[in-house]
Amino acid sequence: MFLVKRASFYLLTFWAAITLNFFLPHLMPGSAVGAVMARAHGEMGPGALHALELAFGVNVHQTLLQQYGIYLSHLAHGNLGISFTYFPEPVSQVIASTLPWTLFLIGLATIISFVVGNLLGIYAAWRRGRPLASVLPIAFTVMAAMPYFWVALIFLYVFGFLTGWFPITHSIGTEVTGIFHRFGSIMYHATLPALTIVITSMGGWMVGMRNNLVSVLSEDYVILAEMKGLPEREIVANYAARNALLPAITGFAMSLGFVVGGALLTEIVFSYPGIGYALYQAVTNQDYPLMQAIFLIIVTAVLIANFLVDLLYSRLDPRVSND
Amino acid sequence: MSKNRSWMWAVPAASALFLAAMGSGAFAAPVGPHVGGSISIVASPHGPWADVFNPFAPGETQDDIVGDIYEPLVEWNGSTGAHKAWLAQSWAWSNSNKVLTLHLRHGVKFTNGQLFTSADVVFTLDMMKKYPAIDTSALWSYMTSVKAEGPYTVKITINKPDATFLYYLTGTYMVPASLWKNKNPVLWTDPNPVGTGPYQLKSFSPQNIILKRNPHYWQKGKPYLQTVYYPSATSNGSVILGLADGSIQWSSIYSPDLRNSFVSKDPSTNHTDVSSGGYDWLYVNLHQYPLNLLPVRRAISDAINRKALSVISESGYSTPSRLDGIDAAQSSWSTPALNKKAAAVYNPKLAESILAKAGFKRGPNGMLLTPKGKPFTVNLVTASSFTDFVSMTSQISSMLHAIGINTNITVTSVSNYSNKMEDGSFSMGVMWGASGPNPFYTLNPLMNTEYSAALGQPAPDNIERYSNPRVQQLANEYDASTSVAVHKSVIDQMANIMATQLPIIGLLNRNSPNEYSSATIAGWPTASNPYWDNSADVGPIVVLTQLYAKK
Repeated sequence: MFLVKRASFYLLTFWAAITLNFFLPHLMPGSAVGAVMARAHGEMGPGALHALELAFGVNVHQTLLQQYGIYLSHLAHGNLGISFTYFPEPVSQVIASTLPWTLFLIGLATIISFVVGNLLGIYAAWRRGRPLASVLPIAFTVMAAMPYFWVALIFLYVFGFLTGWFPITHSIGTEVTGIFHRFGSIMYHATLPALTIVITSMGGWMVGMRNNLVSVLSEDYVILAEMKGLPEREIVANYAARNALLPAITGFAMSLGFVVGGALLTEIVFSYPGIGYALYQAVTNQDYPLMQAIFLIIVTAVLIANFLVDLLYSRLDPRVSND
Repeated sequence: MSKNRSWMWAVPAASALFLAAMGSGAFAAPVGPHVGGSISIVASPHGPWADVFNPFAPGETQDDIVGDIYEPLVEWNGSTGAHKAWLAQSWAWSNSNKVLTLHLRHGVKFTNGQLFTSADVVFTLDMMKKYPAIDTSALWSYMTSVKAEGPYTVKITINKPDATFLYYLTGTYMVPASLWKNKNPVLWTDPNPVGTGPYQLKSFSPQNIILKRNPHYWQKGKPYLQTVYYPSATSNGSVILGLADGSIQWSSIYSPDLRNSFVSKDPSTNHTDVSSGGYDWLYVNLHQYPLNLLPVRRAISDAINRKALSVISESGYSTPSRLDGIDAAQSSWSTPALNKKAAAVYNPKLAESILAKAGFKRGPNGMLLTPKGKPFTVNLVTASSFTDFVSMTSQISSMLHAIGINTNITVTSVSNYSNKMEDGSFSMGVMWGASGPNPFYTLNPLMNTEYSAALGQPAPDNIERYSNPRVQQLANEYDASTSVAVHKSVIDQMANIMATQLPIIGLLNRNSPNEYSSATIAGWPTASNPYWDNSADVGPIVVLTQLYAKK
């Protein structure tokens, strides 16, 4: 019953989201033709305006409602249309060439950041009072407060340009062949961007975990376990940290859902291919088909992530499904 | 004694070193143009590449590369207007300038081995008639027919004489009829392009497009460089780093301080120059009072410090312009009398007195009132992502404020700004303008009603909606003639109208910097041998076919 209720709620949310997804971009002032003309800075021929209108089909006389119907039927058939920015490349092609990189880089960085951040948080709470445990939260809070763009540029300049330790652009080297070489090249290119994401986002997980754990550690059952003489490591790992992790799981699922939105700044600084830059291009170029497709992916991913958390929660905390 | 000895030893050692140096360097023949080597080019940051090589695709995402693969009939120099016969060897007008006969180059082959003939030219042009969406130069608004006469001659008939037609026609990329005849050229992505150009596609990835030399290119022995890399880039910042560490050899990106970030890394090999192309104009909506009054526009022009716009907003690359639309690179089209008349002055005192004479008075708050007694307020529109235009707009706003004109600035998205300007729903705004091989391509579209439209409808060029029958007469005179003397006289009269009537106000000669490295590659255009525009943008094959590896 709980499952059916949740599932129908998600279906309704999904419909609302794709509807907004269609209408919101169309409320933006300007047009795709204007954007292309503007990007060319007057270097196009005198017939360009008319030709572009024909190519993009913007002067077709259809009401917004008719266009909405066409959009829904295309969506049902999996037809995402043709991108205006990368005309005439199909939107599905643009996404296929960018989304895997985003999933790989941002997904990996999010997982590393979550795992390492929580482990450090556990350490900071468990060993609170020790110098390192006191310094860690402050250091990473400061890191998290620094503008990401700036941190990324410094890393790029120092570890990419000055020392030459890491590549400064792209996600894979030029003309790399062989599966092992390719894998090595991909990991090498991902190191610097991933590192910048991890160190600037880890602080949040760490401080959250530490604060939760500190309050859990003063609960009666922990004191009872201590009095029973259980080993300290077992208390922290099996009783305290497990309970303190619950709120973090929600946040983690949400951030996994948002992974598909890409990381625009990372992609710009490191010239890393990804969906964030594609979305940025779509928005600045009034590229409705591409914009709608990317929003669709984000909405779907966030909803699925939420649904999974719901399911997981009803397992972890049976009180949730009893309401 | 020991001192003496070491001296004795040193002499032969030094001479041996000297001989070795002579042997390896001075006596070796300098390496001239030869096949081999490679270059990395980033014209400008576009983000990851799309797998689209269709030369008719709109926008400018892949146009840097497509021009290395497909070729036009004639190559035009964007800076000076000079041209080189390319796939067409020569051409002639007949039938009172209504029939154009093109003579094609013999022995040109597509990279699949087929000969390039008149059938391909006819096919390409007919395709534009069938699909108006790819006719971006509106060729079929002039053309009535195109016919092949034998394998190397093409006859084109146009409905009325038009001297600019040749320029727009010959810039069209030619595609092979055999491969395109069953394609919809609007939607075809053309992932395996086959052209006549000096390079062909070797491999595609969204992060790097790699071209290889076309061994059967019609210019025998050329091109010299074996491989051309086009790595994708997302920001100017990473391109600058790539230029500085030598991984990119040619670029045309804007950066405010190239001397420090690029040239100073190695001044002997790292060079910059500029490409010029057209103006940045201050457009004024002539349908709005009091901007429709000539003294007001004259006062606005005199109140603007163009030197400050150049230095503060464009790092000095773009330079103060004249008022008549004649570009610094095209000054040979001007006359001494015109030079004098068209010079822009910065004189806010004069501006104030012009306005006072026209009946504008200071109101109670010290700002100007129009002769109708209403506050004189101007709305400026600009696009947030064109940071140079935003900066120029805010400078102009304070310059106008200084002579008593109230201003508001609207900063909006690029597409919205572009639409507002084209539709005429603006008061004032900084924007580029048309340009071409001579000032006629600038002046005519900007002032001729043919390029205008009703308010609310997009106008292609004459967005200020200037209307002057004399301009149409002059345009007809120009079109009816192929004589340079007639063209010069028309340009002179049109430039006079622009400079004295000020339908729009010239601000800067638009120059954009190019960056190139001579560390591994030679053959660049230089100040002493400026054989072509050095921009890496839009298929730079005239320069690219001259470049060669130094070893």
